[in-house]
Amino acid sequence: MICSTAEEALSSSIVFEARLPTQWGQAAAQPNVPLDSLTIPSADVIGPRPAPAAWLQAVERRIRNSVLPLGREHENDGRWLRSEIATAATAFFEMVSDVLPGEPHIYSSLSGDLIAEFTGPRGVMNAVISSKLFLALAVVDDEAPEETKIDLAAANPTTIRDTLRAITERLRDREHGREMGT
Amino acid sequence: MAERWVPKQGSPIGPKEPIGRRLFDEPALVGAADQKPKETLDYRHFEERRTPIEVSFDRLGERGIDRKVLNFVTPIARRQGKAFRVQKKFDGWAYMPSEQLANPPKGTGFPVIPSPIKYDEPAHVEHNPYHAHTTGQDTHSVALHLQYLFSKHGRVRPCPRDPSRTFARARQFWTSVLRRCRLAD
Repeated sequence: MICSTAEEALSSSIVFEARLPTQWGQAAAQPNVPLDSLTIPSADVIGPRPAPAAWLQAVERRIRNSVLPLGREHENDGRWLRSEIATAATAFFEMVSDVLPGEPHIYSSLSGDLIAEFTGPRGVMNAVISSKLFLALAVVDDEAPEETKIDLAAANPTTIRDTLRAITERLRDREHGREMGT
Repeated sequence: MAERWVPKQGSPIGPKEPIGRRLFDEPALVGAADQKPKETLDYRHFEERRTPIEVSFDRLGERGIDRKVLNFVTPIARRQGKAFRVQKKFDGWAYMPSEQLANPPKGTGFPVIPSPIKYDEPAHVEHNPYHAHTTGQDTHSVALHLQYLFSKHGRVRPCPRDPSRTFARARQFWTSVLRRCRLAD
């Protein structure tokens, strides 16, 4: 695919997941089947889903390897994450990794929530991720800090992504275009 | 020799007073050892779990950092570190002028209230005339804003050396010297 603009090239990284009907396999085997007759029923198409950020796997691994082993709750001095926080944080990053400003530095808060600190070319965003809440403080270009609170239990994924995108796009360097998933 | 500055009872906090937040060594996640170490102030340094939310500070001098005040407060902070469920090393203070903390150029301000801890308070074992605090509504929000303010406008003052450890090290050194001398004889 040849893209005329950088924006197009970036959007081409969107992943389409589809279960291809058997006709497609038949078409490959029988070249006489007209391509126009091949359709993908809409119910079979999952997506489009944006490509996850390149750092997502590393962050998921760090979270997974930090889950508190059963029976060792009394030993937790901040080195471990409770499983419900780990699950919530993993689901959160899977949902929005592509709209976040970059790879987060993660650690546990004293109360057991996950702290994720992001640095972008134009500022920083520090966030608290709990099982129900996302709270972030972003500072762009040395302007006044902006607080964003999202009720993860009530908001739908599109709202969460749109809210985050509004902040994080400003943290990215506009001069060099959008940096998806970096 | 000048006496150590002690804030007068009931007097307000001066605009130039350095307001310090104690920094304790906080652990990293066990599964995140491959992360680059962080060089900025940690969220946990400003996190308070008490309700209603009261974030404690130390008043570190009248117009600037006062070494005598530091020498008074440091043992208290070290003992606080040892009193945690899992002991934490006291590393020093993040501090900034009270005026900037109450009215920062940008963002939410946190006025600091003097709250000296007296000898007879049952909840506090330690007498600390330099204790002060600020209040807030939401733990996470307060911690995030304080982390930003101290990172932006504050500085870090490492804690003075522990004299007992210095003495212990000196004793260890001279013992080893003496032992070597005896062996040489």
